[in-house]
Amino acid sequence: MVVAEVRLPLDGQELLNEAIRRGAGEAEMYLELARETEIEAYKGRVESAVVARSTGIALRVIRGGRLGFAYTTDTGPAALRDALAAALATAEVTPADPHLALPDPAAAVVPGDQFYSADVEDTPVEEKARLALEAERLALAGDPRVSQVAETIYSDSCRSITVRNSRGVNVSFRVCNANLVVEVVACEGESRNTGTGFGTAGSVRALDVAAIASEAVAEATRLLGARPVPSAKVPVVLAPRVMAQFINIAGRALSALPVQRGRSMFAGRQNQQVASPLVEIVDDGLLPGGARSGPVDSEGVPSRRTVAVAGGRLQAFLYDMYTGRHDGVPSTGNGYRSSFRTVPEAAPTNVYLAAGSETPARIIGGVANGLYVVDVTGITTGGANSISGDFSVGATGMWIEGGELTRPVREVTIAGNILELLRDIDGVADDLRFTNIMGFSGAPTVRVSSLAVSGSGQ
Amino acid sequence: MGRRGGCPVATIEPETATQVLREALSRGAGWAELFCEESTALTINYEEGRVDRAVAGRDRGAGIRVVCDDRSAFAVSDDLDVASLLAVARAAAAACAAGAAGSLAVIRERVRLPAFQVKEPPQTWAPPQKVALLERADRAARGHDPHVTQCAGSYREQVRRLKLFNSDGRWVEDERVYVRLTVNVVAAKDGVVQTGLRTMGMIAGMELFDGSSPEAAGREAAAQAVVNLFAAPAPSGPMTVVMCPGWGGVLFHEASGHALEGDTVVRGYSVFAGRVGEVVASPLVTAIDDPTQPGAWGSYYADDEGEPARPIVLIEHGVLVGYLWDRRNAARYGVKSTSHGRRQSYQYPPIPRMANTFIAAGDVDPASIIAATGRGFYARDLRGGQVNPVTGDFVFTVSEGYLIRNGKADEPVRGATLIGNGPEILKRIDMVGDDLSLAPGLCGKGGQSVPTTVGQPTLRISEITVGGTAAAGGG
Repeated sequence: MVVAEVRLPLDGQELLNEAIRRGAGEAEMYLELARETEIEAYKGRVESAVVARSTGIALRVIRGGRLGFAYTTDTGPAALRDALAAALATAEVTPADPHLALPDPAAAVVPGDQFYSADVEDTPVEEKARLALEAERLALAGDPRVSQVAETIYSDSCRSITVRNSRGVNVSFRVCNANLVVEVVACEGESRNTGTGFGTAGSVRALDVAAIASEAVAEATRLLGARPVPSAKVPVVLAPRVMAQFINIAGRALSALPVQRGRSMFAGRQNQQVASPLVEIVDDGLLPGGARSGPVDSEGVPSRRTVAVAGGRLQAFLYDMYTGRHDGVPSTGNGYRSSFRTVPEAAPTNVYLAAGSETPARIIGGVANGLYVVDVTGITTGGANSISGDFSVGATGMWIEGGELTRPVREVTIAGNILELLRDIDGVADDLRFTNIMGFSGAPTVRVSSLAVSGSGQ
Repeated sequence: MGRRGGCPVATIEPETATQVLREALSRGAGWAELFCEESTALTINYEEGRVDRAVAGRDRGAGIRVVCDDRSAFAVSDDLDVASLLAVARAAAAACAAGAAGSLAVIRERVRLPAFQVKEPPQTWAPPQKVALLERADRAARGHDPHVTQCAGSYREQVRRLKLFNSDGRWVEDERVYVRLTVNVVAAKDGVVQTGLRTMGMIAGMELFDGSSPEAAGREAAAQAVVNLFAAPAPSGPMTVVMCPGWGGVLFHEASGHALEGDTVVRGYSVFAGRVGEVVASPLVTAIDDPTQPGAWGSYYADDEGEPARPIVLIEHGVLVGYLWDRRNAARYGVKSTSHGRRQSYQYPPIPRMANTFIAAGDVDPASIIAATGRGFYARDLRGGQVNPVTGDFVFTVSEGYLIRNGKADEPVRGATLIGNGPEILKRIDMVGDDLSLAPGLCGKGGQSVPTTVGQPTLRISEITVGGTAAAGGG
């Protein structure tokens, strides 16, 4: 258990006491020990291996009602005192804010190691490498049209986190996550196409190598010979990995901070019908295998499951301590930090669109003439706006005719507004799946009654 | 672990480095490298007319890389004491536990890179002076138009001190200072909400704000949000498109730049692999990557493998002439590094990346480009883009766009994405202006984000697909 070995040279409580002595009203220490592996297989060999171990400490103080924050990767006593001084100094440039608060210890916290899978740490690097090599081999053998496996990457991380504050919170827990991604290139005649298969899980053994490889092969081969289609407004079916990315954007906009600051498409819409009655959006910080699961959030508040949208009605936002105080409600355990380098902020944990009851085939079968979107590009680089909800992204997929997938499509865009998309959902399948493409989120296949598809002129 | 913390980067001397590199080579690696970094950063976020948060941070650590044949291993430590470095070197070495051991050259001569001329180091300004920059941007944005409802500004400074040793005997020290300011504006009217964004950034100190003011950034971001508020939905379908100077360079960055990076070339899956000497673009296109542009956001004197930086011509009058290489991929391709091995920090191995990439100026007056376009689309600002280097298919998001009718671009439209295929689009560039400018951005690849500059003069593409929500492209 390497992540558990490192000891702080300075006692955490002592550091907090010193913060109080030096003028902080409240103080918090967040310690993150991470161990990460990344292995790339290429042409039957392990081409590169990265092993990293890191330590980071963040100090948050509230001094005279003002927020101060500093971090360091250096845990020596002098560096920690410097970090404390820096945190106290940053509090001097921020104004006093009555909503700043650290949590009290919770009555009941779920035991610390339920999200920890020893196999991520204990599996030897050689064995993890064999997984990547096996995925590459299976992908290459999967179809004669697969000309090459462009990339096969296994990666994992185990993080050990301690949150301790001057109000008595002192929680430690460990979280592990393993990922495998395979990207293949398929060729037929002049046509070249890529396909990506991926898996993300809370343990190494939960990765289904064969399924990941065949997903990459299927996607690469079935889109061979893809061409644009003429621009039209048509029904569109979104594959789980595509819808999950829209849900990711929606999840950010359901966080209380952007809502309170008027930077969310959901601002001012509480208790309104914001989506089709088929839509249920859930945030679950206790989701087994979730990349953002943990017994507590990064402020030490117990994690929980929040149904933000039920039957299409917006019924709850996602709160951390600060935004909760602002609205006079408790934190929902959504105080999130992407790493020890950032101030905790209200954000989704594991957010997903709940599964419906139809099969994906029936969802597609309900379309007379439309587009099945297998993948989108550009969402992460500005193609979808969480404030206005507007989006316009590149899409690849298959044309649907008479309820059947017919010809492959590329070089088109789909465009609209996420709120309108949620409102126009008229079918939700039973194949809920999580992705780690742009942060962890999940969705099943959905059908949208109408979206603008832009392609060729005719 | 009792000795953590006592070893700043400055104390790592050639003797220590030699010991660590010897350990890294001990199990059969042919080459080894030690990259140490110590950086400090300050971020101030300003929102709702006040400082929202200020974060001070310090990162320190080392990455050790070994290469054996065409394989490599990389291990990271955030301890810089000798014992930790030796342990990490052993971990990396274990990955190359076969083959003939490489030789270790004597580390003798230090190359201390000339720090980019920093006139006013960020540390010389008191925090309230930095807050004042954000106040100025905020005031200008809010004062620009009554429809502005939100303004979020962010100031970030970073000072990176780097020290690199490798088994060829290389010893390079560098200090890089970055200052950046971004302004994000929200404007609203009758339930419609739109945004505008401006970024300024240089590898420089506080003199960044001598050349251009935070007020200008605030005003421009506000103007963009307000223009979008009153814009019609963008059209969809193929159109003639005029691209703005500066940020318009995202076009080349996505459409070609990534596919010219050596890792995609060496594996043969780049659309440009094996095509040096071929016509890949319109004869009007000459494209360059120049990491030596003074003060530019993506500049460096040596790359993150210690290779002295130099400009590389990628495409000359439409003919493909070069790729961007790091050391390892170049070796596998049988060429030399072009000084484009870059990494986000000591926590990552270097990979081939763009630095300051731009299409060179042509000789046409930019105003005449729009005037010569009867019907089309003018992309005045872009937000970002993404490409698949295998197929060359790319998208990029237009943050401010106008319909061109009768040679005039005065009808704003919003929500457009441009989509196309890199090699095809480069051949359709039919006018190139004389107004080259550069714009700072952050480029993500392989989980690593590095500062890069995009750039171009105003240019025209005879046809590209515009993906909006309105029917009938161009009417």
